[in-house]
Amino acid sequence: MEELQTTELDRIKTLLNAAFHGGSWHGPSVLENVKDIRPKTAGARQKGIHTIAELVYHMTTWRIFALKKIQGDADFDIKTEKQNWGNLKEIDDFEWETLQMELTLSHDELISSLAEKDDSFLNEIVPGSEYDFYTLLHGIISHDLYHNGQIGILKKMAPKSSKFNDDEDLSSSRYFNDGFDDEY
Amino acid sequence: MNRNELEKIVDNLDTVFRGDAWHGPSVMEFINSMPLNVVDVRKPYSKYTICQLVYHLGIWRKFVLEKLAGNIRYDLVSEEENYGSEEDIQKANWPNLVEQLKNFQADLLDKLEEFDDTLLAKLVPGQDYDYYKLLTGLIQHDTYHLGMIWVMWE
Repeated sequence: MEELQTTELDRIKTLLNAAFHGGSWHGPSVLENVKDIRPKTAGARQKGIHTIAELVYHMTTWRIFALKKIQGDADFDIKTEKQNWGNLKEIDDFEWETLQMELTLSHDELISSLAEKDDSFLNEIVPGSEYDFYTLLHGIISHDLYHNGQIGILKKMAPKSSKFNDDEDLSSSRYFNDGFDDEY
Repeated sequence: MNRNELEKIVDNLDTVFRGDAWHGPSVMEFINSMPLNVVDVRKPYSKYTICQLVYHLGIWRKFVLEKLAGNIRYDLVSEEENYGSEEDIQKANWPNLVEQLKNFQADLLDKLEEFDDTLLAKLVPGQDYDYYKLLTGLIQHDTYHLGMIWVMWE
């Protein structure tokens, strides 16, 4: 009889890593989508939508939420707009680099925190909530990709110039067709 | 017959489609509140319309159904296969697109009832990955395109 050769938790870790780094079934990972975005694009505000920088901050925040819960912190919660989306001002090279580094660090910490766990952990209830860690970990993956889909479109809404040169006039070509044959 | 893990995957597939999903809005929550005037609007920054993405989410469920029926050759390669024909993606066809998506979803959930956890380790006919990757991937595929739809709707 065919059986999967890994533990269920290992499989979920593989999915978490694939959604974040690459190799997912659905298409581009978070980092694959984010890596070529310039600071000005990351900070560009489209009407009624969070910026790419805010979305990256938000993904980090919810990874930290998962991490705190794995560590047993029942009280940790994300309540305010600032906690959820940050209080970001101008996105320059340094800020954008920092946001990406924090995201990657939070991912590494999340994966490390699962190292000592086994499959029974997946059925445990997340401290301070009513759902289990299976739901939380799959939720993080879905959450990543939901916002990754938004980022995929937002970066195409940004002007062509931002891809190569942040100093060009942004108002001249808001809707730009980059000609790349994406697979969305 | 152990179907503990498959059941959780099916449950997640169902929740992301029409339930109270952890990450945010489900597919049907979006579709049910979508104004008709946005579904066929072609935005300069997106290659596809919302109609096309809804077609796309449905047809990949058909892909899974075909594979579960053992159809090695079935594949979605061309643009039309992936995102529908001109006729499929007209605004007037929106109710049918939604119906098709819901029907494929219902058929898929029904079909998966026939299997147990051994399915997850099986290779998908004609592909180099297993059903674990396909079924979890289908859920992720939904949320990925939902994110896009949300921006296009704004």
